Amino acid sequence: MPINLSDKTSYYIYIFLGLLVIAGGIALRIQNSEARILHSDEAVQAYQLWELMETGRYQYDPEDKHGPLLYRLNAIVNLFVGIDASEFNRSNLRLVPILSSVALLALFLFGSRKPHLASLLAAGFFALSPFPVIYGAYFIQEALFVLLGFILLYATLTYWSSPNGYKAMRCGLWAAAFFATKEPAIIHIVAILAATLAIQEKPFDYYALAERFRLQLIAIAIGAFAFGWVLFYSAAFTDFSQLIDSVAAFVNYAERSQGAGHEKSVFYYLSLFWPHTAEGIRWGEAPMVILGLVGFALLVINRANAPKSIQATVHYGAVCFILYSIIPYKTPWLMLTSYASLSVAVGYTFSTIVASRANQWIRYAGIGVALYLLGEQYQTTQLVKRYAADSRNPYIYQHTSSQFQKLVDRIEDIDALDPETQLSIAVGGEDNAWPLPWYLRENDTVGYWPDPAQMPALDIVIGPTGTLSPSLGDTHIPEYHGLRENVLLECWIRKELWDAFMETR
Amino acid sequence: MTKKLISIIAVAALSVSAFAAHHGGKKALEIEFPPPFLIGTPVQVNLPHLEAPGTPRPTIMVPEGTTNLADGKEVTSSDDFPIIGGLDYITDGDKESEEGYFVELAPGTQWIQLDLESTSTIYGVAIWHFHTQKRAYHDVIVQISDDDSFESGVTTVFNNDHDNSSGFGKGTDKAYLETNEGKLVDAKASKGRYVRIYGAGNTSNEMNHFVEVEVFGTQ
Repeated sequence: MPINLSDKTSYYIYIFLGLLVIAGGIALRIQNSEARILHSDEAVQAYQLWELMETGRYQYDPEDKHGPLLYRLNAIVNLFVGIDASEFNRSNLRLVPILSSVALLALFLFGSRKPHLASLLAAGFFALSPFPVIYGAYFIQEALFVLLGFILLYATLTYWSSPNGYKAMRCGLWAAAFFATKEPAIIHIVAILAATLAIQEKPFDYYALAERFRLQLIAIAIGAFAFGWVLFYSAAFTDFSQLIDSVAAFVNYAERSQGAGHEKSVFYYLSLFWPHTAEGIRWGEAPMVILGLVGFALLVINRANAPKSIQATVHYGAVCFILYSIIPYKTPWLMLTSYASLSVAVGYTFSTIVASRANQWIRYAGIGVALYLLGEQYQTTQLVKRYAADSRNPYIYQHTSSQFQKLVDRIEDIDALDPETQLSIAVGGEDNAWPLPWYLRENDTVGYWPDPAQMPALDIVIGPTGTLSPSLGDTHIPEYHGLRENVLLECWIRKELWDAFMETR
Repeated sequence: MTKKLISIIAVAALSVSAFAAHHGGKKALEIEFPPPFLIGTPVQVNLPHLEAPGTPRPTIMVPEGTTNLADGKEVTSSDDFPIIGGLDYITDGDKESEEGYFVELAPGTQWIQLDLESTSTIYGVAIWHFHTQKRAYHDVIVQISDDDSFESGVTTVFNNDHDNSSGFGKGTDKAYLETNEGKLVDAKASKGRYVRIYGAGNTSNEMNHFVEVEVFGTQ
């Protein structure tokens, strides 16, 4: 149901509600970021950002890390808003993901010249629902990546409707930014092309394709893409050493897509949103899933009349959902694009009901159900805040236990006993107890040993349970701390330090 | 950071050399601090059969006629409205840890209290918090008293609050990993009508859980 722009009242109401949705989205994302301790992936990213801001250098690692855009963009934003590397906390560290997520809301709301009720509702669901709230405030590439994906989708649609050199160049540059954020962009490029073709009346019309794939235009797009690629990976043409690695990364990511320890069933993503209980807590978003499927079906049926941007948005997310479900490697945040599309599909379902010629009570009921569902999504988001880092929260994955903060606090308390001297700390284990290195980044007398047996008995010794030397019992006091689900750490504190600490209690 | 680290190690090494010259040629241990390595998303750890790595259960000698006095008895708590489950689960005899068998209390320091209905001689208290995950519960404190408000005549038979964070005094008992065997506490024939068990979250989250509590004694 398009909003009548000639009717000023409708237009102002749309603007007002849109701004309200954005304000709500920002508030919920900040709230969630404050409630949730850093995931190890977030801490690794934060550490790289911190190093970039401290040293001005970013080292791209094609083995397991992603492109430089998130860090570079974050460093610029932090410079702009005046956040120093020493002032990072849970919320300001996640500023760029929050801004990216909010920018996507704005794109849905105000990206089209013809505002649509479906867009307003979609933005509402995306702003309030638990999954996008979490990953809209998660210091990984996903929120920025999803935003760039949708920008590229709409740029592609614009190009497709009337191709020219400028639009080809724009597509090339956005694609470069997309790849420089995260290498799985290649999957999304396939989905964007599939969605663009799927909504055309004659997707394989020879003349239409020939016009859009004209050699000159393709050359401009590729040229812009190459320019953007080199710009991002060479730190604005200052260091070309990482360009080869940026290409080699695709080989590694092809291998990783086979699972790398994160293999899950083809129904994994569906199971995240389907009703289930986890140790006494009920989860699930069946109404969203069902209404999203209805919206998809309505768009297919109404393909002649439904706005192309809405059709493309929903098709894009659907193709991503299928591709990611097929690929063995699965982590929840890979569903963020599909969830954005799901929100649009649900919004379209309700807008179709409201705009239909059905009995007016059915239309009122449609509005009522939409508002009720928005309320339900908000309630689930509040539940998610309570279980922000709990292993029973289905939307998070291998998240750091909230109780890990106790270990961080303990080290700070012991360290505060003698501010003149830095504690010497040994951390053992294959995973370095991340996010611990992030919290200890300012301490120069911390060492990390992959083999806990090799660790010296320093002031504090930390490692996985059962791997540390029993002789520590002669000189140190042990504590248990949770790192994440089923992963416990032993923290051994030198007895003299412990006694001094207890004097302060 | 690497530069900073190298400078500090270098200064430390020089200091050690100077120190050694004044200490009969002895050399202090020199430590090189390896930097952290950046890891990928951690993979899931599955531990289907948990075994406590610690001490075996204590052997408690009890007289004939010792029974589980807590069986079916009333349980009260500092959290009157548990987040999940009911307080009656704690004395219903079911020790499974799955959904429907445990009660989840609010975060922070919380307690449950069992009323044995008359003053009893208590030899042992067995506690099952939650055992489908590898975790340890913080600040487990077991007290016995004839005073239902636990303001007088309190005997503490177990306390592993080693840093006194719950404020009942520093405990000397050790932390332990939860298993399906539970934790058996030697109550040393203490006398009392009420048994109170404190906790302050666990290594996985801030919540407090109880599956079952058994109190072995005579009345």
